[in-house]
Formats: sequence, structure tokens, C-alpha cells
Amino acid sequence: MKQTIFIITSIWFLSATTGCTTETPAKNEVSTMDVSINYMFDASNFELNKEYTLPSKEEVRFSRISYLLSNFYLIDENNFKITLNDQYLYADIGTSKTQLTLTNIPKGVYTGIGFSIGLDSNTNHGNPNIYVTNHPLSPINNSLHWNWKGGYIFTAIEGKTLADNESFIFHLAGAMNRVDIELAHPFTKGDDALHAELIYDVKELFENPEVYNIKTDGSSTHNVSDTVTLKLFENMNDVFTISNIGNL
Amino acid sequence: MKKSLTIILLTLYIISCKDVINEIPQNPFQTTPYYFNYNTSLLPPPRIPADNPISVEGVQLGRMLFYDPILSSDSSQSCSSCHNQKNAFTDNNQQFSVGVEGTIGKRNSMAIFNLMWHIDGFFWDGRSNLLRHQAIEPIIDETEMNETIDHVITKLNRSSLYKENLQKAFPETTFNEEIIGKALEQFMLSIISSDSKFDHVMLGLESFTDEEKTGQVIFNSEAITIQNEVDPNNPQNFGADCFHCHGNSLFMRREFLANGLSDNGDKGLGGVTGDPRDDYKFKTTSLRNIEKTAPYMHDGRFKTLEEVVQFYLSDMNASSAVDLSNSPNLHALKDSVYLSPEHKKALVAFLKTLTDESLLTNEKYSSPF
Repeated sequence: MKQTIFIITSIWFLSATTGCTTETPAKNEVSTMDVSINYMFDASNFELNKEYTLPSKEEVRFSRISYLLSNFYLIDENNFKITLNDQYLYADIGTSKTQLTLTNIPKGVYTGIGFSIGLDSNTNHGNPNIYVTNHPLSPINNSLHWNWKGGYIFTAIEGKTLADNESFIFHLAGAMNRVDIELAHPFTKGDDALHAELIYDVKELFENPEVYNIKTDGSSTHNVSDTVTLKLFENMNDVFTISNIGNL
Repeated sequence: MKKSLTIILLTLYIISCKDVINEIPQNPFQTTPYYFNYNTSLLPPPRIPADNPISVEGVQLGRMLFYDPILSSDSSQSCSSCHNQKNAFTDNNQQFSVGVEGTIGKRNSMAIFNLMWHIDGFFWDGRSNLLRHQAIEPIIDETEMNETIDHVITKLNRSSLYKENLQKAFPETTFNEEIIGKALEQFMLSIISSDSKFDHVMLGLESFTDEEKTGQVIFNSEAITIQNEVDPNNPQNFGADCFHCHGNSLFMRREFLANGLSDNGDKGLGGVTGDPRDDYKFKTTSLRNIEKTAPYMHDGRFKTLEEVVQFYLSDMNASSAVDLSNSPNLHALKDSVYLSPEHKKALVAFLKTLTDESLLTNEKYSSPF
């Protein structure tokens, strides 16, 4: 009998110390926010290689729209910014890379979110070889890097104007041109993951505050300070709107 | 009774712990991790396939296969026959390679280095997504080694040397197509090039000559077409626009692009995807070691770097196989671009700083036989 008790006790002890018991994990907080971006041209869904009429009345087809987002933050009910460090999005409409999952979202009541189109100067001019190939800032991944430590293209817009069958290529860069976006939309973060839906209106790139005319304003730029760059960056302030933030 | 109870309880314990017991590896297969030796400020972090971790033994087996004519039908050609190390693993300045049957290929042999960072397909037309699949194709291609994979497997399984090296590198005891591909993949992934003069300059160990410096500016500057040129001698006003497609530290771009060449009947990526928008798009290859990889382009049509430079500066619109309005990457080059003879020479001088002599002689990449 003593031997049996010893065996049972030993088994209990072994089980307890080797973790054989299966425990149901307690419900954990999910501190993420999935962000998806839908592309529009005014009121229509936007697609590459489809014909659109710009506010300048020029008919165009886009073949590439790629950009980088950084500096994500939340605005809490006291108007404090909760920064979400080291989180980036490389978006490329052509390859459907248009969503990301923000992590480390604290519970709380918020009034909106913010982010930047482009990068701060240090990140922009840092060594791009530190990033693994699938990182949003890997030049191999995003094809948005200018040369050796030359910085990133924040937004690349490429396509052709149909009337004269000429290509256009806008590679917009320069840390001083970074566009800071803030979108008001109240939401509460509890235990569950959140989902945010943003809208990117391509038409806004070519109007508001100023209509951009490719033929007269210019069909290309790779300069951080020419009028083409400055005008298109200025128009970028209104490309994003927010349609919803809620639980998944 | 006590004995029975003990057995039952122990059985129950073992069953309840089966997951734990199954986690204990039975006779685990061990290889030696392969460490890459390059300056990580010059190239990105290693990118290794999760299902083919690189080992010293795997690289060695791949190296043996790469240099062994056993892979060809008449044992006359190995991978290295058309990918010679001294030419940055291209084919000895040949426009097209000649197969074991004397058949001439239709595309120029591609360089082999820094392949771990190629993420959108291999071959000029991108028809292989994985390097291990690419590695098999020349073996079975009638115009190249003209061998069957079954015959290669038989030959390798008959060899005590190969069986011994297989058992060091992989858990398998006999060769199969996947193992051959994976071993070749490991060897090719191990070939790194980041020891050129350009790299030394980036690390502050050497300096460019004045001519090379000028060439670097030209490389990284946007071209200005002749009709818009106001002062061709103004250094702010010239460029060859190379950086758009060869701009990062690998001097390549992941996308397959059309570059304004005239039609030679080869549709490149379009021939693979069937999408007319991909017609005449080819792999955007690295310019590292470009001095050693002549002739140039997918069909080796240009013999020298000077011819290549002249092509990009000439009127592409007149001869391009594609409507260049669909190729914004060539926006600045589609019309004639002026570069003075001195500037063309400077550009070529800069391109030659990308030559990595150590790649051409490194024993790690040479024949093990």
C-alpha cells in the first residue's frame, strides 16, 4: 500500500513539475490594431492601369503608387499623443501591400490617430542595410530608396498621360517635406483587437489646395525642393480620411 | 496487484505526457551552422530560406555538385562551365552558352552572387521562384546539360563520395531532386560580393579618383534630354539616370523592367506570365562586378560597357520594343541624352569600382576538386 501511495505521489509530483497538465489560457488583452487602406478616385474605387480624368482635365493611367508611412500615434481623451515606436508601412497599390498591424496599443479612450507620410531625417538617412528583406524600409522590398544613404522616396507616383502618350514619374522625397496626418475619430480600446479603415483618395494628390497639371506643372521630379515636389506634397495633406475604427 | 497498479499508473502518465515525450528528438541530425563573412553596413542581413538552413556541410555538397560534370548527360559540363568564377560566375565573355550537344542558348549566362536578396524570381524571365528550382533547370534543359534528373540521382547514389557528403549535409540517405536543388541553393546563396573599391570607399578605407567621383555623380543624377539641355558642361546639369533601376547597395531592383531594347523575339517575363504588360521585361540585374560580366543585356548584344552607356543615352524611342510611355523608369532616358566623352568615360570608371576581385578568386567559391 505504501508503495502504491509513493508511486501515485511521485506521478503527481512529476506531472506538476513537468507541466503535463493542460491549462486553458486566461483571456488576454489583444493590443493590436489592424489598419487597412482602401483606394478611391473621388467616389470610385481606384485601380492601377485604369483611365481617370484629373481635376486638370488630363486623362491619365497610373502604373505605380507606392508610399511609406511612419510615426504612428494615438491621441487620447486628454489630447496626449501615445507614440507607437518603430512601426512602418510600405504601401504599394500594385501588389496589394496596403495594410499593417499596429502593436502595443494601450487600453483607453481615444479621439483619433496620427501618422506621417515619409520618414524623420534620422531614419531617412540611416543605413538601409540594417533592415531584413521583408521590412517595410528594406530598399529591396520597397524599391523606394535613393542611392547609398541618399534617403527614401516617400511617395512614388508613376503613369502616363493619354493625350500625348507621355509618361510621368513623381518621386517625392525629403525629410523636410514629410507630411503629418492627423485623423479625428473617437474610439475605445478594451481587451479586443481593433480594426481601422482608412481611405486614400488619389484624386486629392492633384487638387486641393492647388490643381496640379502634369503638362504645365511638370511630368517628373526627383528633387526634394522643386515646385513639382512642393506642390504635390502640399496636396498630400488631404489624401487620407478615416471611415471607421472598431473592434474586429 | 501492486505491480499491475504501478503499470497502469505509469502508462497513464506516459499517455498524458505524450506531447512532451514526442518533443524529445530521436537521434537528432546535426550540421554545422554556416556563418556569412561580410560587413553588414554594406549589405542587408542574411535572408535564408526557413526550409533550407545553410550549413557548412550543405554548402560543401552544393559546391561539389556545382563544379562536377556528373550533372550533365555526357559528363562534360558542370554548372561552372557556363558560370566561371573569374567572370563573376558568367560565361567567359560568351554571348550565349553552348550545351553538351553543341546547342547554342538564347540568353546570356547570368552572374551568381548576392542571390539571397533576389526576391522576385530567377532567370532573365523570372520563371523560377526559388533558387533550388532554378538550379535544376540547366541540368534538364536540352540546350544545356541535357540530362534527366533520374539519371543524375542514380549517378550520385552510386558514388560513395557523394553519399558520404550527403549524409553529412542532410538527414536523407539517398539523393532526390529536392536535395540536389537545396544543396546547389545553399552553395549559391553562400556566394557574397561586397569587397569592391566602392565598398572600401563607403567604409572610408579608400578614396575615389576625381574621375570616379564624377562618374558616381553621373550615375546618381537624372538625365536631361538634349532639347532641355542648357549647359552640358554644368556638373549640376548632367546625369545618366542609372540610379532608378540600380540604386540600392545591391545595385539592382527587384522588379522586372523593360529597358528600351529593340525586339529580338524574346518577350522575357511576358513569355512566362502571358500578360502583354510584361512583354520585354527582364530581370533588373546587379551592376556589381559589371566589368567582369560582359557581354551585356539578356541577349548579350553589347560587348562593352561603353556600348551599354551609349545605348542608354541614344534615342530609345526610335527602336524600343515597348511603348516607352508605359515605362516611367525610362522617362528621363527615352529621348536622346547628352553626356560628353569625358563624362561617359567617368561613368564607366565608376562602374569599374564595383568590381570585387576577392569574389573572383575566393577559394570558398572555387572548385573543391
